[in-house]
Amino acid sequence: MSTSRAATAPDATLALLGLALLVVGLVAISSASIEYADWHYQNPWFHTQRHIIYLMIAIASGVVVYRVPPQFWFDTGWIWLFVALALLILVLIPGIGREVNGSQRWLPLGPFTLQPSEFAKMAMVIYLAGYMVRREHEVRHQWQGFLKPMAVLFAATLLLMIEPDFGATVIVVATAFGMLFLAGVKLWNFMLVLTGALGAMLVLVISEPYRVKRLTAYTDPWADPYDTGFQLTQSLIAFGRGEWLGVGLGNSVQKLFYLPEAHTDFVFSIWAEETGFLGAMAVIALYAALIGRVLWVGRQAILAENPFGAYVCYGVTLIFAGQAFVNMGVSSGLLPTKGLTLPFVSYGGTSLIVCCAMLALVLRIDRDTRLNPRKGRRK
Amino acid sequence: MPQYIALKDPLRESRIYSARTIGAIILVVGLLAVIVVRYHSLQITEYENYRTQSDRNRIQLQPLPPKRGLIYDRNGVLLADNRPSYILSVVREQVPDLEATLVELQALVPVSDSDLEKFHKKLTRRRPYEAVPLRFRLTEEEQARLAVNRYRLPGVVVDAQLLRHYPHGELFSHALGYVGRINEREVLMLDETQYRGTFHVGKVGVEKYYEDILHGEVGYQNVESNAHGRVLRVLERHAPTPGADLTLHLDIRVQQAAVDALGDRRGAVVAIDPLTGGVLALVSAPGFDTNLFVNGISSVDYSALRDSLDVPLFNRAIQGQYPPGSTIKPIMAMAGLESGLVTPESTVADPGWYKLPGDRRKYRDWILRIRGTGHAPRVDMNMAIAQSCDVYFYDLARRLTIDRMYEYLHPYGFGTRTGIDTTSERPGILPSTRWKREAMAQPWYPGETLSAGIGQGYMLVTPMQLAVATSVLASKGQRKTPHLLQAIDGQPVAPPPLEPLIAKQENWQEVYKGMREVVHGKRGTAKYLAKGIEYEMAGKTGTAQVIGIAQNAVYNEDEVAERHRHHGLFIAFAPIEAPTIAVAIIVENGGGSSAAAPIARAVIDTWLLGEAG
Repeated sequence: MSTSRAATAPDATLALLGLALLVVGLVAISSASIEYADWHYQNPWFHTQRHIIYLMIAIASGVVVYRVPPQFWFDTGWIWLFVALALLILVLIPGIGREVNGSQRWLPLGPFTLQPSEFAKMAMVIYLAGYMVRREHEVRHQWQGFLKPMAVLFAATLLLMIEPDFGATVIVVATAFGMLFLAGVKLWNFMLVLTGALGAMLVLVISEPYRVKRLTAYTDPWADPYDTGFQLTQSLIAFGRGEWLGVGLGNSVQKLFYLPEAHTDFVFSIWAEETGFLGAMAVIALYAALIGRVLWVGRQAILAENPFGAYVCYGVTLIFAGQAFVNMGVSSGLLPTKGLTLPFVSYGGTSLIVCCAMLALVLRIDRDTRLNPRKGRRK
Repeated sequence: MPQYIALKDPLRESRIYSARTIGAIILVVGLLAVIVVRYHSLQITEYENYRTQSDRNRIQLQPLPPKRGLIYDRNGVLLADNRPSYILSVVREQVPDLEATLVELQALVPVSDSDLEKFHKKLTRRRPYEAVPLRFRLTEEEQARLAVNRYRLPGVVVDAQLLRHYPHGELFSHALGYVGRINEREVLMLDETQYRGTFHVGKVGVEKYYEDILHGEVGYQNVESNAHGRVLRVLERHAPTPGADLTLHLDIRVQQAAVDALGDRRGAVVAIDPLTGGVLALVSAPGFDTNLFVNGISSVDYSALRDSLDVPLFNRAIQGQYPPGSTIKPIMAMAGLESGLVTPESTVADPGWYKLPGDRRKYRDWILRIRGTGHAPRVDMNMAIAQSCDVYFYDLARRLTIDRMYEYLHPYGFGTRTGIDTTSERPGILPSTRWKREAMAQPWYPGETLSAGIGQGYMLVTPMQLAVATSVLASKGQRKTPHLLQAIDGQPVAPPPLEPLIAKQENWQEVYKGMREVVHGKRGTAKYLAKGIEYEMAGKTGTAQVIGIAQNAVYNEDEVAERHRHHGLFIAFAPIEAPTIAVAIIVENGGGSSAAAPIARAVIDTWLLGEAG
């Protein structure tokens, strides 16, 4: 097997797209957090410094993942799933998990914190991809092939709902359904599950009508701009101030304590305020290109008869696209407020590490496809 | 490895597969399009709308500082008031060019360097939309000048704020204490929410001790303001809860009488109502104008106060520690009677000096220098108190021993803080063998017992402690924690009573008889007080050798002679049959008790007869 230097190197397009988004994230977080950090920690670069540390850890973990053959993930997928479920249980134990704003989502780890739900997303993708390859026939033609992953998904969903982390729940469910759909599960299977889910939601809504109100409150944040709608109205004002070219990097007014903790889930609002519609579109274009490229890698893997690689790519695509869409939708008032990070951009160590690891996995699949275009899977 | 199951209908499977992939891609593109359309509408189409929301109708949460509680004396005379004062502040966020604006402002109104320094310090601590004060107490002319130029000075605000004012600043300086601007150390200790919008906090005295009660609860309002920070409308308002008003036991007439009687001498006067423990007067002279401190005292004024040889900032009434001298004798007499070591009839030979067995040293009575002999061949207790005989108490002290003396004197409040409701009280010293071992790592010498018996040597008391002890005497053992506070918002308050001191009725009477003789007797040491007196007063004179009252006082050769004179002391209560006032007075370097005793007469006259004031 001839392995030239060019062939073993990762796909430059994909790597550069990821890197570009990381740079956007670093700039946006530095700008959005500077006043907040100065006020709370007397150090304007507090969050920037921490983010750089996260970035280095994330890139290092990406390098490690790139060096691991996909076969390893294929073989150990179920172990990762168990680890992920164990962590999700661990985080719920009082005294171990850390509660912030009524949600128990974080495991303290020295000076840092680990968010098991981020880890669970990746584990779910790897497990499902492996399962669908192992039981390809069952998945496509039999009920139990569909029901078994549903049971696993149900367990993970339940744990995420207890935290509660509805954002992660939505992403995990959407990703799992998307992967099963793309793997060719019969459509009426979906119909049945969807009908069941809708029925459950209806029962929930009828029994506790306040949930509907809370869910739909986001559609009119101006009804209560100083309390429940405060973050969203301030976020909308941030967008609105942007116009075509923005107010200029570092010139955001909304980050000066109007938009609470602007550097976390609402960092894109500050980016949109400072760089305007064009800046926001540039980031969306980066995401579109990244997602397209990952899908292309998946397509190549299929052609090389490497369905595991392809399914992983689809899963990663769904997570990236789903999270980016939800985060951008939330900050612009299209969706109800959910604490979801913007992949590669948001402040948050676990999210950053998991995103880089997933991208590295895709890069590795692409490399293997190029090295062995006929047969990705070794017998 | 699992078996790869061959597809039965590869062509069909592949078609489904491709169709689904394409469907997914269309979905992603569709979602992207939704986002793009939404952003376009937010950022381009509705740009004007949101810019208006942001710039013109800025929502601000403004703190509403509570009104500080007022302080009254027992007659309802206002001692601490809040008066409107005009403050020039700057809202950083609304100022286009801060440096230029500051230069502009300095041309309009005088701004001192210390004002500027404080302004810059605060600027970094407050949020950009909060007003940072630059100048306090604007005159009407300065307000007018700023108002005229307001149109070209965006972000410059003139606010009226209630400021603490002490109508009788110097008279009550040490009794009340004062408020001052919150400093950086206090910022860390105070509740950030409660003190948002408040610039002042109690620094010393009652103002500090009752800070929590006086401060009140902060309120807030949500306001919509325009780009220049002008409030357009109030959306929501939670009114602050004003601090509670305090009524003190202090009586301005008594306080004034004490200050007038002291004149320009240094000293302290404390008067207590023995029935309640309420403090009627608390004077430390010289005082100072507390109003100087309210908005940050200028460094010139401050160094003048700090460096003065008279240490005006030192609260002699509760921080000054003096030897009680002969004023301790009535209490020593009580100890003698209660212990059974002496009776009213027992006498001591008085040649004018006293010797310890086996010691050649002569301990002299003060009278020896004047008359060359003792008070009388034999002295009984009545004479010993009335004429302040040292020999009698040397003998009593020796027989009592220092540690039993400690036991008998301690219940009168010596050697521990009285617990008065103000700040920085000091405990004084009531010596014992144990105290000397712990404090000086030395054994107790018998001669030191004799000194202690006449209130000299190691023993130190504050005027407050002396007044409390006098009050315990006057009330026949009813011990009360002295306190300034009489009522909160009109509701009377009193500290819990202390365990009473049990002693025989006839013993109290015997000591009273001696103290009565001091004033009303033919040969009493303060008999000059009896002239024209309309009630019966019990008193005791005292003289303390100077040991140097304030360790931080600067040594000045020109002043030495005057400052080496003895301190004059006097304690008294009246009327004897049912005392309503107990006083303790010290006049520093007064020469002798005759400097202090007339002050007691003036204070008690005012309280009992309503004279002067």
